Amino acid sequence: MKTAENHPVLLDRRDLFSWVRFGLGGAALTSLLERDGLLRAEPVAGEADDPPPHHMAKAKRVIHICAAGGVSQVDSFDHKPELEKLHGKSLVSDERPDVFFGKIGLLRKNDWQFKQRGESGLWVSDLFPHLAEVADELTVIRSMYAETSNHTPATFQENTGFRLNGFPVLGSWLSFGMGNDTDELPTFVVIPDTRGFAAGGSINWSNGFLPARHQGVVIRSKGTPIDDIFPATPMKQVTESASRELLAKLNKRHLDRRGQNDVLVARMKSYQLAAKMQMAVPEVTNLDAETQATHNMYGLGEEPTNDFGRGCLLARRMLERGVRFVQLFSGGAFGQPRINWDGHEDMIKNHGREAARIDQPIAGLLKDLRQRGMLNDTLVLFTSEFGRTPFTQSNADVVGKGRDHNQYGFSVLLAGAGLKQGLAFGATDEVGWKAVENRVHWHDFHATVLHLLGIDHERLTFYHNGIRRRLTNVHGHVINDLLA
Amino acid sequence: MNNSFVLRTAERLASRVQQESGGDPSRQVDRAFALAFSRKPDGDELQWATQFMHDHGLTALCRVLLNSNEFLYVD
Repeated sequence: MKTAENHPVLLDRRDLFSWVRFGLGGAALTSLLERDGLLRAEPVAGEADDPPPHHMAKAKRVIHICAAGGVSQVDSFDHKPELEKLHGKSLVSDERPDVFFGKIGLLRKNDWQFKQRGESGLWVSDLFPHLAEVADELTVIRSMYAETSNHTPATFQENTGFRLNGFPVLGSWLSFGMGNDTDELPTFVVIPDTRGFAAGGSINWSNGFLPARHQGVVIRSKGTPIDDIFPATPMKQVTESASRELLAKLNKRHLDRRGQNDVLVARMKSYQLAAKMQMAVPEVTNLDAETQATHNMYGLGEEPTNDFGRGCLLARRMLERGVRFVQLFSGGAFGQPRINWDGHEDMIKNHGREAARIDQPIAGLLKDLRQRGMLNDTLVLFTSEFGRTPFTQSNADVVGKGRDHNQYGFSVLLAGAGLKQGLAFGATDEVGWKAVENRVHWHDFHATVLHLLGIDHERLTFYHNGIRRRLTNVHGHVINDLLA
Repeated sequence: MNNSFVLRTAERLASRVQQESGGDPSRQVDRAFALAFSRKPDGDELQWATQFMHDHGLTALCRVLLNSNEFLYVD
């Protein structure tokens, strides 16, 4: 295989086709990659019956930042002046709030001050001072609601549309529908939090009933990126390639004797991909190749931003090399000690710690994507499982320090291709408890994300157990008001 | 395929095959297939495996067999 060092790349036939395919939009990226000698990969086709694009795509690739736990909307993107006035009062409601731990304390005002930011005047609190600087890039949905306030099923719903497990996640649907722009890296990459996996672990990047090759591949941002990608004891390159060749022949013969079998095929493909990844992974994960200015922008080499900053920079490098979907987790599983967005006991401590890890890296990522021209056809998503209650998790006559889970109203962020920027869409009630105006379910969110990628959510289907399954089940409406 | 356990196991399998079938290459391939798959190699497989073993050694062959779909999946 060619490497950048010993074969300066000219525009060969394959590169020319790829250039023509991506048109002028991809020209800037193409020239960057060509300069770096990276254009040697071939695209991998998707396998949907009714292949996208179903309409003109605005976005070609996605970074999804998944905050494990629930991010408090009233402390971040959902400005509620009324809550400030009602601080220390009881919630006035004709229903008893249904919360996870059953304790309903007094209302608590936002712990971080809100300001209007940028030219758009978007409200962002001081919890995210760096994101506040790029407020004009952001599109906020303030009227999200979920069907559960239990972490594990809520994470499933955030990623698959369903509360039960066994369904494919968004990244798998995109891999299935759109394929990849490179055959040297996985289509769907997951970068877990360095402190641990989110609740349920690898089930959160499951292909469900889609062919097994569409599951997410974990690449770590710290330490060894992928286990066992090279032999534990060094082996001659010629033996390595001959071994894979023999293995492929034996597996092919085995498959021919048995007929098509998804698991066997996926395993064969995984060896082909792994061989290419031996070349591609050391290069893509080499963050030292980036300038000091870039490192500073993402907060590398600084605490507490180093770990998540590395993840964000790694994500950008993968997208540049043709990876379709990168999912970054902020936070691990629920439980004690808290390593995610789960401020039951102390919001200032919990959200303060978690936000400081990711605020600068995400803002740096957005700035970097913008300056490289990539934000024009890249979609960045920042979501959490649900929100948090405007009242505290404490005895009824106390203003506690923590907030409980809130499935009835929360905020998510989008940025990039095809979106109206600096927009806040939808609204919660006056204290920020329940979404009341332009309510958005995960199905609507998913339908909109697919729409931006050129996919009609009703046409991306897979026949399973007698049903043509969709990411959006039998629901979902594209939120046209978000689209530029 | 690259994990140290797999590589150690391939070495152990190779020394067992060596011990039980002596130095004859085609008997070694027969024995390795018998231990890994409980069957004899067909004509092509015998030829591929013998050539591969000649070039890269018995341990490398055992590593390939241990990583094959036939070894890893029960019908």
